[in-house]
Amino acid sequence: MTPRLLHPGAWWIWAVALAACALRTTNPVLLCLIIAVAGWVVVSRRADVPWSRSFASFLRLGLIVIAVRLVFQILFGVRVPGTTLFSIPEVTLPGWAAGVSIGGPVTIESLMAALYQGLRLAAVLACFGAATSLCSPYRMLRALPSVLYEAGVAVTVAFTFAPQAIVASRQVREARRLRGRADRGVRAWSASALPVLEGALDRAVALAASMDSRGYGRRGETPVMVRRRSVGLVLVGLVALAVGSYGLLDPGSPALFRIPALVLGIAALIGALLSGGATNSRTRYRPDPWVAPEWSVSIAGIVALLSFVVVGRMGDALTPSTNPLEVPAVPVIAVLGLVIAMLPAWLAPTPPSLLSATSPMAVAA
Amino acid sequence: MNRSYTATLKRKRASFARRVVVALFVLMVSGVGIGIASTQRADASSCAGPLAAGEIRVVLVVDAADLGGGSSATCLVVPANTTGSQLLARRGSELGTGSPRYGSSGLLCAIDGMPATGCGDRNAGGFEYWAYFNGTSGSWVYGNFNPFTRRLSDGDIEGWRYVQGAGNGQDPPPRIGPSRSLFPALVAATPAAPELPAFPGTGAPSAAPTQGGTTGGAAPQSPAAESAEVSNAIAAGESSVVSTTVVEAEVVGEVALASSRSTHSNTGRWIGIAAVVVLISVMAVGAWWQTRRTRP
Repeated sequence: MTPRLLHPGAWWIWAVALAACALRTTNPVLLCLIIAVAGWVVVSRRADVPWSRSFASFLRLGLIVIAVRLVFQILFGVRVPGTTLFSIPEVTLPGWAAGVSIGGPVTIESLMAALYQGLRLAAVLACFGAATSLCSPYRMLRALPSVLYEAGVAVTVAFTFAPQAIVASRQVREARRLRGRADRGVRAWSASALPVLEGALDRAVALAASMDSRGYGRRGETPVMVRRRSVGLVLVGLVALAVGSYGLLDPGSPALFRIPALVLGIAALIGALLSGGATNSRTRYRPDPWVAPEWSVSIAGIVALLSFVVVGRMGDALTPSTNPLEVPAVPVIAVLGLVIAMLPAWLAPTPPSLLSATSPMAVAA
Repeated sequence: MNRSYTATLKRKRASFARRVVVALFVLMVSGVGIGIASTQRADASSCAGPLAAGEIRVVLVVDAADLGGGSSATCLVVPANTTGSQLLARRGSELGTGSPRYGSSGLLCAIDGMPATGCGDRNAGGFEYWAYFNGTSGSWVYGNFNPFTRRLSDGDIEGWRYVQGAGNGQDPPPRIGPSRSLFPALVAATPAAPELPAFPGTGAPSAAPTQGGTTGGAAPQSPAAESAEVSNAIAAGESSVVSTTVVEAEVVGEVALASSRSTHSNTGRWIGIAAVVVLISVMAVGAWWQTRRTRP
């Protein structure tokens, strides 16, 4: 396989499917395996670019999420019966605040439930971090369907904010180090958080502006009414798509928010495509191909998701009981699905820079 | 020793991703390891008395008629300041019907294994859930308190009914009225509980350990069922199947059976977990090796 960058859409499909697996389960064994699979693929197939180091940042964010979830459970969480570990002072709230509790006994069961939920969010973050560090945000922007050009600035900011934040944080850290200040620890982190966020948003908006000034998302000589109609349709379509895809990924959502919302969103986007510039033809400079490796990577992710759906239908192994506490079962089908999701580490072509770093001969040739 | 340990740690400065994987692993193993808690049972006094110091009598009404389980009122002697959920667990262990099932949010899902699946699910008729009532005042009051933090006092009457409703105070209360007659008369002297007269019940003693679910009907024939268990019918309101059960049964045999069964199935799970942990650690080592190799 000649070294090249995989189509970013394939990585995103794989990562979203893996994140959907994580959303379907609270089984800590499977969640840890999901994080490990994402990490393995990232380590094997990331290019040597600034944002490819972002996976560790997302893991760190996941740890913070777990810690915050545990602290909130201890302080404000619903008091759950079980084996009490310790008690913190309890505040008696008036009758209208029934259901809210501050303080009280803290049980293993409640802590484990909080840990499972935090771990689930951490796994979703790890999947998102894997996609961010595996593919270039700029290539992803190029590969987006032209319908989304109407929401140009928002889409650009959405796709480039996380990688820009990684680049900005590295620069802020280097700047602090050059000035002889600490670049590690809580104080350094709190002092650099604001400049990092501000810088990342600035860069993303600047990128969007420069792309806009070069004609990204322009439709040429389209009448105002047509443009407004297509923008409105794109807005409706995007919101419906977001709701529908969330509903599809989260098994607990009402049925109306699943397929119907997705269908409505797709219909609105197709309407926008038709009403806008159907005659408008666009060219792409050196488009990324979608061939066998792209298919295999995205199918690997979807197979993992299907295995989770099957396991979810078969029993409750995906949601181990925390009350009473039980040893989580390890469903073999789900583990096999995740092993298949690990295959992109070999199925995807090696990125060019990684190969040149390992074997100097390739560069010479 | 500690200092040299931290020093080596600092010197090594392992890659962050590897540390995260190790931390997750430790978290997982320790978390699951804590998980097995033994159920403790105190010796129960008879509800007809005499009560020891620090003991209170509480009646717990469970109405599962909508699930085909009948309704029952159980008088229990518990330590003062017992919580509502402890009372439920006590009832389950004394009747041998198993402990109640809770969801991860803390919502009570099932009493006596009913319903077998689901937890507060929503359907066309509203929410299907166990509604919590308090009947100490003589009429059922919809309780919007947390059974885990609610402390009981002597003479309290607690009620649970499986309802289908909006989840507010309008949901129907248990069909056994919260009357004082649910408490048997206190006996001042020390007659043994089994000598209490057994009245002919109006129906089958539904509160007897007829374990739902997979454990089968072996329980009623077990020695546990022979121990003091008095059913007496009470004319209480509009209910059809009423049985008040005063139980001080020691269901030791059944508990032992349940625990042995659970450890048996747990070994398989531990093997599975160990396999996945080995897989994850192999991957972690491999990933660390790969980052080392490709690092410029």
